[in-house]
Amino acid sequence: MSRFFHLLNLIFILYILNIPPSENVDRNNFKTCEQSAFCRRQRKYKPDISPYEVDLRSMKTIQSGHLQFILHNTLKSPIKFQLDIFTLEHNSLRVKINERNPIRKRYEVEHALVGEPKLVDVKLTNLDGKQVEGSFGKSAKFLLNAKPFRLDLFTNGIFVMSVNSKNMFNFEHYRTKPGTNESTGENNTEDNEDGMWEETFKTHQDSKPYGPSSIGVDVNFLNFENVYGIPEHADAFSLRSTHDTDPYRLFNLDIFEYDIQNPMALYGSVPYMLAHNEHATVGFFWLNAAEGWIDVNNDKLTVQGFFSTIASFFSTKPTADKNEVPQVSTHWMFESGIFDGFFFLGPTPRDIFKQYSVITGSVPLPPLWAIAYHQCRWNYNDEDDVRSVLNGFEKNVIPLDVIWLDIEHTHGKRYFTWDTQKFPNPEKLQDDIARYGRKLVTISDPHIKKDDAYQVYADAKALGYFVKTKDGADYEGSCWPGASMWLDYFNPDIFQWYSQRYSLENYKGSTGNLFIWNDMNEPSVFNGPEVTFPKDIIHYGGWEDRDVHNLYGMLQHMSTFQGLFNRSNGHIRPFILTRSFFAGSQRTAAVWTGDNAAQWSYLKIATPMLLSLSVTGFGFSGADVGGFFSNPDAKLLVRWYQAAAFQPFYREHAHIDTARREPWLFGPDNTRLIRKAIEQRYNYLPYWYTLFYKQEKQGIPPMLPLWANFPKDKNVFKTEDLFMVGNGLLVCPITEADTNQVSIYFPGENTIWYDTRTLIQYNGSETVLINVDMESIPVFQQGGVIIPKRLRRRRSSMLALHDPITLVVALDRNHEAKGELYMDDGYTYDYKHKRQMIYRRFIFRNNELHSKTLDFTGKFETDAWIERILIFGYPKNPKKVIINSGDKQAIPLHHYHAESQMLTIRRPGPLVASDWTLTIT
Amino acid sequence: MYIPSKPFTCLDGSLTIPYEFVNDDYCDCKDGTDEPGTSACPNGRFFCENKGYVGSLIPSHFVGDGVCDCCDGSDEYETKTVCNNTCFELAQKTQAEREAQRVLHEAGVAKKKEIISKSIAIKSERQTHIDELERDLQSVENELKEKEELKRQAEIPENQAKEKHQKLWDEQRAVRETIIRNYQIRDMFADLDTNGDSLVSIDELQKHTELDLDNENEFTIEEVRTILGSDSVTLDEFNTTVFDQISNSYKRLPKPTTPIPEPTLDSIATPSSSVETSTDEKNMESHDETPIATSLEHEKHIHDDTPPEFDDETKQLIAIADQTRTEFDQVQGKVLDIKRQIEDLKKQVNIDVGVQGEYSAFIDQCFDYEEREYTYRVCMFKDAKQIPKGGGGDVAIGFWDAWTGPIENKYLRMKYVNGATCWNGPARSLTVTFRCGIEHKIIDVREPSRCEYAMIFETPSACDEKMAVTSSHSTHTEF
Repeated sequence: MSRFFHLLNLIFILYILNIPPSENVDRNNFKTCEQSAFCRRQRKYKPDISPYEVDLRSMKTIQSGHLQFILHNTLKSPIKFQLDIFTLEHNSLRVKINERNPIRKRYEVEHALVGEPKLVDVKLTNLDGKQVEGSFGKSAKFLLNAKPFRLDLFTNGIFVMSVNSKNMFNFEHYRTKPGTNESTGENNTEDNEDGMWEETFKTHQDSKPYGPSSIGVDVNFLNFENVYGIPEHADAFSLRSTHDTDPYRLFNLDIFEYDIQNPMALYGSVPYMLAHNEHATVGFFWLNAAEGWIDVNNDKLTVQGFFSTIASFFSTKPTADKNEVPQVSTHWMFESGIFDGFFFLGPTPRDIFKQYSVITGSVPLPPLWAIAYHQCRWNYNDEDDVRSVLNGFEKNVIPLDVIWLDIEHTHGKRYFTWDTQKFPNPEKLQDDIARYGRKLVTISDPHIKKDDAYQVYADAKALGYFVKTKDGADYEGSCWPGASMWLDYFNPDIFQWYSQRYSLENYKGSTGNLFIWNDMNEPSVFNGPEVTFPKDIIHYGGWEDRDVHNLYGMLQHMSTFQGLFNRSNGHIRPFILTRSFFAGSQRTAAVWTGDNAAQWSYLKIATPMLLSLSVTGFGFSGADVGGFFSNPDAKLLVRWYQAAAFQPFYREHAHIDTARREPWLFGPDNTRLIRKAIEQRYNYLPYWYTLFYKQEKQGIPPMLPLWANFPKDKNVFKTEDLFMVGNGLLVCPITEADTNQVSIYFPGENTIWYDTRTLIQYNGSETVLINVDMESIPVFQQGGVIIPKRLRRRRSSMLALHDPITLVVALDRNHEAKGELYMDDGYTYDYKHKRQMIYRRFIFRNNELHSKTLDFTGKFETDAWIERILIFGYPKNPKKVIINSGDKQAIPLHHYHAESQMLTIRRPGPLVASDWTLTIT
Repeated sequence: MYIPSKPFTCLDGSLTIPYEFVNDDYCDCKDGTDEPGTSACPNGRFFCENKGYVGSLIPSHFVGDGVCDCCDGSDEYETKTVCNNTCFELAQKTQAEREAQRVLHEAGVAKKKEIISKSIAIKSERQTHIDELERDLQSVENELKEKEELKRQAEIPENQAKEKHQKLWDEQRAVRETIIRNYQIRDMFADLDTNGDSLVSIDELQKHTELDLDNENEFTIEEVRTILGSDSVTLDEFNTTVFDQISNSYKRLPKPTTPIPEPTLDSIATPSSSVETSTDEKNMESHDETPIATSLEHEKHIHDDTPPEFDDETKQLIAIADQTRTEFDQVQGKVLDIKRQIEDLKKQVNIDVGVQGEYSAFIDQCFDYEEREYTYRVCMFKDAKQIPKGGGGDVAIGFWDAWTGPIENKYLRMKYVNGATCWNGPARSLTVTFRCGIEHKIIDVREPSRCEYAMIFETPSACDEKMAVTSSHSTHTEF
């Protein structure tokens, strides 16, 4: 929901001059690498030989799994660095490099990790004075080369990653400013490069009191051709080479009307990259919250010289004539902090998801309603407006779980307040909404209006809770309410205090049915440099924003989460949506892709953007349905509803200047199509909910790239126009206006895919032209997967909680299939603390379908039962179907449709919670 | 339809099923008719008996969802949800509301009738007025014709006198111009004729290089001869062939020895002096050494001249004509005024003010609605505005367009369109929705979509005679 003050002024001017505004972002408001001094310095750093050397004699074993070395820069002998290597559980390695005796402590990121990673033993060999080799875990190995410093990584004996093999490791130690009394006088010219001690961008000056402090390093993925991740960018899923563009930037910013297909920074930052090929999936995560830039290059590695000694480790033999293997070389540059790299060695996609989630946490199971349909708009104007929209859903028989209120619901953008003229009785409104199991979400942004009569401001001001300027005054900027200040969540007291604003007594007019949306938390500062905080403002602990910038939004929503958690004494699962995020944000908030636009190209880019988020831990993410800016036509809106029904976070949202676009405003036929799309989401909710539970447990996101399920199928490594939901559904969003046909490649060998619309079967490894009409987008169920659905219509997900289940069994070539179903009360933590849950496995084999529990401790009580079983790909009409549950037996009716090979079993009847076996003869 | 022991056929005829399948919580019929008592079919209908109130059909997906939808709670018969029977209270409440509505409409309809009868009177008044005005128009138009004739007659002698005056003035001017020209020629000739032989020769003219119009190189003899037409010219020849060629470029050569006196152009500055001196050659020669102004300066003097005043006789003729013109204009103004009045009245008569003229009271009326930031003003059948309270200009939110209610009730809504355009949005517009009330009053103004305003307006004109009648039989029988 970005809206940008300069823009408002501009809009006014344009309005007067009657000039149409330009369609896209004003790039001049945001830095290029060339305009960011440290990026400029680091990007050109390319020595022939790295001056960094490891003193292997300095090796110390701090504890089992933790080795320590001294690292030198041979060109600057007095400067010593400390190299720590930690061998971690789950095939993971952590490497830290920091100054040994810095003149100022360097920032190490807090809040992002789940906890202290667990160490595992390392077996050291090959101590010949030149290299150290360490083996750990199942199949992981590192090789530390001393002169020059280089770190090679292996998984299952395959050489996968190499650090500093391109000599770009470059660590700017803290130094005294040349010309000051304390300066030693040496290296004066080198220490006084342009932009080291101050930098000006547009009218904003960055005072840089501590001088240069950046770190650059090359991390190279050997024998890989595709890398992914490092969100958030509106760009391809398989990252493009930045040879001819700026590097991908990581710096949380509010970009007004962002462009697509470019490496500009957006609202959130996750410095985590994955690489995948048919042999392995690996990952590199640099825990750093400063401004970052990452160059990506697809090049070739010549297997000669020192590499020839380890050439045998390559999974594929270099071609005899060329001695070359492909590689993706990446160059990472951060403005400050330390090098704190995590190397995840897979080797499978599932392993990678697990490994990263062990370090930064996984998305906790959201409340059921949060993964259903959300209706939002800037703004639903008042109580009557909200009620009339809810009535619209009733009248048009469209299910809905959540309605949202944007900034205009507050008293002059004072969060935690209401515009009492428009919302005189918010509690009553929430009670009415809750009657059908629905919820209200209100917005709460981090800017605090500067107004002594506003309690939140007055209290925070008195307590000294605002972020400070470099001179120690309260930092003041402008945002929606005008002059504003920002809380310093880095201070644990302030974090706590802010969380308490969400208590029912402090947040007047809120009820237990109200949840929160944190927007503008990059933070957006309309008059700040690049529309955010100046880098030299000071946070708790004396850290500059330069050191911690990308954490700010996460700390806000973590505190919000804490507030909602405490509101119910830890009984009810909170729901928070955040625009800004960092690695670890996934533990407490869902994210969305910010202010997109009502254009087909933005519908199309949503898939790669959400895939990038999914593989880097953000399994609960979505894009505004219809596009935030401007007005979608009916076709685009329908296609968006159809695509987003299969993406994790499903919310319609629109800018205040757009025309109303509630689902029933586009004529009866489009209303029917939108209803159908939303109902499809509700039909699949038992499947989604099960996938979200698996995500909490295993870190596997619900929305997946095809390679996650078909890691050996080289044809899908770049696929971004199709995606999967779990391993059961292959989804093809339609992202062009008049599409009658799409060409679809079905992944995997010997797989079968059932068109969920027609039950036509397609074979894996084949490309097929599929006909498309407006009724729905193509969605295919994979043979071998059983999907639980609810086919009954309800007004909201919570009203369907105990409704019966339909099992859709899609048989593979061996006439087998399996699947899971997870159920609980949909909103409390009782599933964790009181085992109030059901987790079942269904297996179809040898003409028998078994339901078994996957968790014997689960004891959620529900009268939900199996009302229908559909078996796709069943070869013939059976004679008889028998179901046994305990000592009971029944013979349900069945119906066979020969043309589509579908067997329907009518009313098999067992309770979902029970064990049973269905036998077909 | 639902007869135990007989197979059941879906109401759409698509399938016949055993009777046990009816309401067995499994949807067999495409039309949902086998499950009227459960939520199994997405498109089914459940009948709430609602004893004490009105029985009703609700969507069957409301059945067993934990929400009490029937006032007798029958939709939750199988769930743990406890529903209070609210049918009696609901019946009472509905009855009270209906009665309140009836009373409102009754009072409203009375007022509406007044408006309608007034409307008839006003309408006939307007017609009478139009008729009167049309009669007036006719007589005033006759008067106009007379005045026009008088004007025409007075303008004939006036024009003649004016023409005469103009002719005289033109002649005077021609004479003066000739004199000035002669003077210039003589003067220039004297200046050029440096040896005083009453001939201007090639070498005399050649000194005036400013006359070399091609400016290419030097002022050649050939070029000079081309100007002169021969080797030398007399004053007469100079007059006829040379002067016009050179007068625009010609400059007097400086005479270093003699100081140049201030130009004195008094002698030709006014037409009277020039006319008087036309024959006085001596006088002219006395100015022999005086530099001559450029031709431009002469023209300026000539054109500066204003014609002399009209003589008294002409003045009188003009005064008479002016009088007839003024009288004509006055009558013409009257005609236009009457025409405009007729047009306005006809516009009012032609406004669609409802089937019976029930909206006629709105004609020429404006209504305000005070809100926190703005006053909204709608001037019926004209325009609508948003007036900011904190100062700043009014914003037009629309101009009268049409009645836009549904076919069965066209006068439910009216629309104002093509207001000021929004940034990035449409032109502003307003939809007014009417409902029954005792007074004409704006109840609410909203902006549900950017720049699309919606107004709710209470008025007796929207009250319904049918609603004013005591509840009919059909509603009573259901209690």
